[in-house]
Amino acid sequence: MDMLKLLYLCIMVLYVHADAEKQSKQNRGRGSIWWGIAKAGEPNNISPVTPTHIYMDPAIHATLRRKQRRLARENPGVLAAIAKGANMAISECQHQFRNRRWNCTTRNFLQRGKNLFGKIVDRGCRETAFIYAMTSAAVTHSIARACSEGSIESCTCDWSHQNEPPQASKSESVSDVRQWEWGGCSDNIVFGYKLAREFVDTGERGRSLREKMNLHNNEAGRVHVQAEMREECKCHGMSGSCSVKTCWMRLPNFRVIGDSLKDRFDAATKIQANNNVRNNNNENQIMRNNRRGNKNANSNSARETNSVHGRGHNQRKQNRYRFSLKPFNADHKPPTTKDLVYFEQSPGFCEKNLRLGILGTHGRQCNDTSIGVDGCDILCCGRGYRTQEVTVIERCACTFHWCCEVKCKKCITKKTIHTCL
Amino acid sequence: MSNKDLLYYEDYDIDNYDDSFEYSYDDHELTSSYDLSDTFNCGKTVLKQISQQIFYLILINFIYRLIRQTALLPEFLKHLSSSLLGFLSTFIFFTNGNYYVILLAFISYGFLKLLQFYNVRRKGILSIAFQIITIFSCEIIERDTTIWQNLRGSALIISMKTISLAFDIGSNKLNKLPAIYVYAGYMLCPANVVLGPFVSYTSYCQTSPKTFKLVSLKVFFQAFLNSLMSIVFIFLSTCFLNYLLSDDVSFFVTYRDALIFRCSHYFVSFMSVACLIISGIDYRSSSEVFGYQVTRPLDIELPRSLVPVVISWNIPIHLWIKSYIFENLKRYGKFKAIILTYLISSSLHGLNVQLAAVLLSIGIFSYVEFRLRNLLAEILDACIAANKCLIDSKGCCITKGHEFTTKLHWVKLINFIFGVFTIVLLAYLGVLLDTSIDGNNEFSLHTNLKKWYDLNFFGHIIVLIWYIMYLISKN
Repeated sequence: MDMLKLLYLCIMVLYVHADAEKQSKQNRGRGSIWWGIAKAGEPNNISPVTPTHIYMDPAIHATLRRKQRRLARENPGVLAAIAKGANMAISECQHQFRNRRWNCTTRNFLQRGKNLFGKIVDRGCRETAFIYAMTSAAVTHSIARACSEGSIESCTCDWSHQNEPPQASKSESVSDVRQWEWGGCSDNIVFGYKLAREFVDTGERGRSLREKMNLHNNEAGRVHVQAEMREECKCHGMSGSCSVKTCWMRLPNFRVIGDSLKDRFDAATKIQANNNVRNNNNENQIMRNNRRGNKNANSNSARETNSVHGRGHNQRKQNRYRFSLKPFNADHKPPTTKDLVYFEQSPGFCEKNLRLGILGTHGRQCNDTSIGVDGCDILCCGRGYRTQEVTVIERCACTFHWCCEVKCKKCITKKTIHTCL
Repeated sequence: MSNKDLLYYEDYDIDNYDDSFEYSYDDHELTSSYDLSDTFNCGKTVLKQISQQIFYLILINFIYRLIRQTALLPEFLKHLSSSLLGFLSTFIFFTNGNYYVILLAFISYGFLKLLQFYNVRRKGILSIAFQIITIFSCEIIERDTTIWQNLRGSALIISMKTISLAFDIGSNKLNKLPAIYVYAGYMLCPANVVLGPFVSYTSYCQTSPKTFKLVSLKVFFQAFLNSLMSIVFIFLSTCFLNYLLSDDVSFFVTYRDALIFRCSHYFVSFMSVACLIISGIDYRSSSEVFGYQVTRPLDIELPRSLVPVVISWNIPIHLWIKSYIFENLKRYGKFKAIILTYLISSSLHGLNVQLAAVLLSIGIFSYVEFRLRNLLAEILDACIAANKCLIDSKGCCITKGHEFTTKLHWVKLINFIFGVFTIVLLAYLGVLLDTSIDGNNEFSLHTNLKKWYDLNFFGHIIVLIWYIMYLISKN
């Protein structure tokens, strides 16, 4: 009987072990299933989705993990903000990459949200890093804004008016401290940051480098949002004095965040991917600190290439964010929180590649005079391009009529467009 | 799975989770593209911030009204409560730095006392000089520019009160300096120590007539109306104008920024009237609806010329300048007197290059316009002067006896064109006084006259052309 039990246990352990290995291979993008929320209201549902219906929608619930569902349940209104954020991320990504070979195409796969951006997210490349940072930033932005708009019940405006960023070093914040007697309703970045972190990062729990990369990039997105938080003030008083001052912290337009993330994309840091020199100290620490992760630690340690270390037992809950990533090129500086990181080379985006879900640049419009990335030479990958003349009807010669009306004529112009072969 | 989830579902202490984070502000321009939901959001925000402050101010003034109008209380207590409540209101608005208000008031009293003791003749002029020196030195001594920024309005009101007292004593309107508690009550009167307006010593001391009611519906209505107007204007100023006039056309941006500044001024003015009405100090009403008028927005937004703008901008200050400064400088010649008046008034505002530039410019602009239009009115014999003709029932001009009155279309047209020019000039002048503060809490206009430079000084060029026109038509 005991033997039988032991055998059973052995089988179980083996099974779990094998399962973990399989999972870690397959579920690289398991933290990103929630992306599907962006498209949940779209063509499949003919009726327009109102914010009140959005929680009920089973299609949406299918894209969420259990913890995410609970967060949504506990913070009514947050799902609408997240859905808005996800859509904001898509449109911003497509705006930022409109002239690139990879133009952030999305597809509508409801059940598998991670396929929203195609299978490119299976690779740990720059584009993936950007997508993760962008979605995480958009969710943070949209939650923080929703708080001050009052559309999330569990949070309100940020009345504390503490404009010091949470991570500012202490010495810096002392000199910067300002007394705001009358703190106003500010975008609630603290809540947005926390909730976005819990919601977005919930799937990235493994020890694999890919998960660390996702965590880092998600965090980078949020930090960018936080850093762009600005205080706006206005003075009122006799002859331009400042007897009454109205101030509020405001998040900038999401475009500003998109722009700075795009800059980080161009300067993203490649981190060590297949480094065989294992840092024993750190590995031990992982195992010690993450008792929960023991099962996976062995199987992952072989793949583990970057050092991941924690602080100690008492701060276990913060361990997830306590790792340092080494740059691929040892001469480079290690990536800062704001930097995007990747470890795999981006695939070529020129040709159609169904395995990676790349559509290729066939049929894309290009600019024949530009020598940049949107120029025909680069965008069409040297395949050449077709030039067509099309007639376009546009609004033109717009004049402003007092008050508040703009009248335009319709102009028919001939335009030459170039499309990649 | 759910266990693991639970373990992670704890508040991360993000305030100190990582101090090694490199955290830097990138220099990004504030994007000014607002959408409508932002605008309403902003409105809510502003209301929340303003309401508390304003509520306290109105409450303080109401308490003051009750104390002031209670006949049983001795005068001494009334003045004392005035100064104490005034001090409380400065504390509510300025928090730190409000001691400067007290300091200014008592230094000024000491100086007046000295003047009286030695019986110096030109008390008024000397006290102007003293006030300017005090304000300048306070501004230099106080390193924290924001503190002085906050106090500037209060300092101006206190100097105006002191100067008016000095002139009144000099011209024997008052036989002697009031006792210190009366003086302190007048200086720190809660109705106008923070937001203005200037109130003369006589109206401060006036006891209320028998008909005066402690709490009347009319007072309530007028105070409510003024507060409402002021809230509408602060909404316009901080939120809605950014939305209504987007930054597509460059002149619109100039106009909008100037309008934002003007609306902010209307907010302060209407709020100050509300406080004044509630405190019951100046119960003579100059307007049926509003009770008392500090500013007349319609005269400024749809102006006939710059002269009514200058008058209507802040009526009590205008009257003060006219009766105390301009009248005493008249003997130096009109143009010199105007320039000196504007110099003095800009000095009393403190060391502020923008304000001085705007005030001097508006002085010159209005003077040139006044002369040009009066000359044109004489030549064409029409009602196109800077000031309106008074027209009697027959449609004749009483004041100047012009033949062509505003019934004629060409007269209307000329006045309209000058009106448009005035609007343009006001936009040009006002754009320099933008009071937005950037993240560093400094005035965003460190390069003082940059905005005018960007506009190629077109306002000054218009006025120069006017002046040339004036010289040509004079001969």
